[in-house]
Amino acid sequence: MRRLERKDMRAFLDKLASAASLVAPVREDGVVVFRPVSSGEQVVLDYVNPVRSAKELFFPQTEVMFRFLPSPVAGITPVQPDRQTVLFGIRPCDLAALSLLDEVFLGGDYRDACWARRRELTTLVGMACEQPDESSCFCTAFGITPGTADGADIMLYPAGEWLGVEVLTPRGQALLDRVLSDGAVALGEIGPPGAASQAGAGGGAGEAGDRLQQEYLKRPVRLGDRLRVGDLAKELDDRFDDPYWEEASRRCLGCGICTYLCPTCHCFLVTDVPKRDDGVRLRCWDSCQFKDFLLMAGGHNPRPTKKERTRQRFMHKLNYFVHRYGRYLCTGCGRCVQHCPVGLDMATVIADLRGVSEHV
Amino acid sequence: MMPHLARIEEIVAETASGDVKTFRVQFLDPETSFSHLPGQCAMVSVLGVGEAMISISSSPTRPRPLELAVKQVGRLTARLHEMEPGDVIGVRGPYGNHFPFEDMKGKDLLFIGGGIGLAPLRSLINYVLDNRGDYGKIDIIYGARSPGDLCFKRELYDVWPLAPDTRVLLTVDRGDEEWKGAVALVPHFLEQVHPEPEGKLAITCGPPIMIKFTLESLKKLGFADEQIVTTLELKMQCGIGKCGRCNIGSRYVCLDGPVFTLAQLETMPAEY
Repeated sequence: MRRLERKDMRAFLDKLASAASLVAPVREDGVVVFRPVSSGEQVVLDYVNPVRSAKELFFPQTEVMFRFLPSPVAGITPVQPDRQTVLFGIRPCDLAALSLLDEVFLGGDYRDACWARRRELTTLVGMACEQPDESSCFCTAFGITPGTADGADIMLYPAGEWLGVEVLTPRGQALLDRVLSDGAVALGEIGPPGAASQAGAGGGAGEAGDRLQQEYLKRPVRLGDRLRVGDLAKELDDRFDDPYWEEASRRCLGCGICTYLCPTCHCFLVTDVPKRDDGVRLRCWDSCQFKDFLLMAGGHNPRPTKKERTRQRFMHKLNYFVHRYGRYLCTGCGRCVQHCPVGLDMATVIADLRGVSEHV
Repeated sequence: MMPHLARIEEIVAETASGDVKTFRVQFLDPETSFSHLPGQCAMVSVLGVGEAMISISSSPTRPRPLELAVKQVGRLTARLHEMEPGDVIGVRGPYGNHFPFEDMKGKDLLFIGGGIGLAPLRSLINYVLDNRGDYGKIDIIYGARSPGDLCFKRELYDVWPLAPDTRVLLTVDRGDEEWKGAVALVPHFLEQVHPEPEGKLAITCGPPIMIKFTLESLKKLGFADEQIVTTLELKMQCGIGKCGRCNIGSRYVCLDGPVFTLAQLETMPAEY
């Protein structure tokens, strides 16, 4: 691990922006969101987590899959992203969410070309969480911590006047090499001045970096540390007909905000937009919480009421996905906790299902 | 999710009202790799309207042209029904599992179809008849609302009954002046025919309500859950397990279905 002085952060971001198209947290209309930026000036560093997750960089809310000419001429031209991108400031929960969505989009017999291409083109610069939100973050319930760097190419660990910089992949190293190439930004060694700068002089710098990392891995996450997920997936095998679903669903508004902000929700619909002579086929985010999500031509709807739709969302994440992929489809990012207008969020539902109430 | 372009060669009106048509299509690029198994489906595009999952009604033993029997029920199928020979659609797939035609070898087969539900069964029926020696006796029970609503009439009357050891037993909900056959709902008719379950596999497809009562009738006749095979359909957008729509519990109809045994269905939530 190396050391980046906080005063050099803007210059570091400027270099990232010149190395590739940079996407980073910015404040827009009072909330923090990931946006393309052209300089370090625009980037906010005092954020807990952008309100919208990082999934939209790889799975946009609306995405053109191809252009077409309709019958009788008929032709199809695929649209493929081609820009090298750096995503700066992604948190451990969103990193974990990307790896869960990799299971969906890249696993099995069918590889999703659009997702794969964006993943290949994007270098991830992660940011460990200095201050997880007291009332909404619960990543530790799913084994993720404020310092979990899995999936990042480079991970940054804030440490007061400086940040620890850990390179995790060759892609991360290549990016860092480009950033440092002209000497405008330099990384220092961690540890007491002098002692650590002597190459091969011992483990001082390494130990200090490890300590910083360990401290992040063990950093408390109030809500997550209290939620005990345990064998919930297995328990839910027998709870499809639990009266809880009906009861919990009564307060759902069906607004779908949980699914839109969730970093792991991936339902989409496909729609054609015809123009005068040609058109595009789009895929757009969709929500299992909408009443016509499963409405079929002919009028049949297997999930006609909020009970079925509420059950579908939570069972999918806490049971069905575990059966299919061996992992829970939630990373405890807390966005649903913060934004569900009626408090029907993942932390609440887990606590309810486990019969514990101390989480708030 | 990129469709292959395919030209409609021929359109056959299956029903008197024309609400079911069979589309015979050829891929524009003859090199297109697309080889299906009986029971598999394809995502069919009408460019400018969208895509829908349609079962393939031709047998893999007669691979081209690909045949898709489509009932007009919604927006996409309405536009498809307006198309003419020479028009170009998109086809991708094949998707899903298939009828267990290997496990069926040596067994007697009882097909029970209702309305457009005969479309996926037809793929298997023609496959079995093209490999006639591998299978035992074949009974095809098929019903529709009225005589005019029976699909694949040429095969029902002139082809399948002439195959060795093969019976075609037709019924309608409502007859007309010319109809001399049975008038009964498919599940009732099935009970009248009273097939013995020994050494037999029942394969059924039709409207959900028909399937529901047919399964009950089959159980009444002594068929075990493992002897009953059916197909499910749910709304789909991708066909490849990503859009999150067609799951029943942890299974996706597009990947793990559409073909399920009743034994499998009994282990799944009844949310379809």
